[in-house]
Amino acid sequence: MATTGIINGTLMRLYKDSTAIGYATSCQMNISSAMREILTKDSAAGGWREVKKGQLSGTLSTEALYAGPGDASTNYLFDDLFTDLVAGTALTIKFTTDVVGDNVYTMSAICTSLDLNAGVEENVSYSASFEVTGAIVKTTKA
Amino acid sequence: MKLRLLKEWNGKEPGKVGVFLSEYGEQMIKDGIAELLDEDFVVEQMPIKEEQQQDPVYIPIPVPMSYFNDEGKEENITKPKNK
Repeated sequence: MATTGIINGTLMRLYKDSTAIGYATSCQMNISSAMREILTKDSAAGGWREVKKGQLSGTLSTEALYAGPGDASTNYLFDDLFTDLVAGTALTIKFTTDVVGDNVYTMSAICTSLDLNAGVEENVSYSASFEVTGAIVKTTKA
Repeated sequence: MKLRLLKEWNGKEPGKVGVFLSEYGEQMIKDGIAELLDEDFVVEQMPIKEEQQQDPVYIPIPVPMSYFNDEGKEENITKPKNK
């Protein structure tokens, strides 16, 4: 049954194929539409800018705690993303709560940046950014 | 769902634990690659940072000696002599 009411952000996370991106503390998906200007001398808008929809695009980003090769987890971690970034691999990413009836956003995305942060007496953490290539498809988890 | 690997999977050795989408996880269980630990599990245990209580820091504020000139009088004010 679909989640009722406002969804707890903790439950909604990024999955590479079907494996969770591990130790994430936040995940974001941004979808935007570029605008193309259509103002001409013939327009009746009195000099006001007129636009129509242009290219659609999407980006993903996540912030997570860092765990190295010694971590006893099968989750998708920094080192996996590092390999993907260097290789320029397009990853199949799903953004979902994994609850039946909830939305699943599926897309192909390339990792474009990784920032690893290590502060004194702090958890080592990183942030990753992805550029979506192709369409973002919204389905409902069956 | 949270699974533990029973066989090597994607270069990860048996015994490792991870969070998978339920549909895929169910197939892994059927294929004998992994065992179910928690069906509703979504978020892994985060490392907890130890909270440290800092001792209060007292900063001495320099004051001119004249500040103490009337100290005796103030004593008289707060503790009046009984006559």
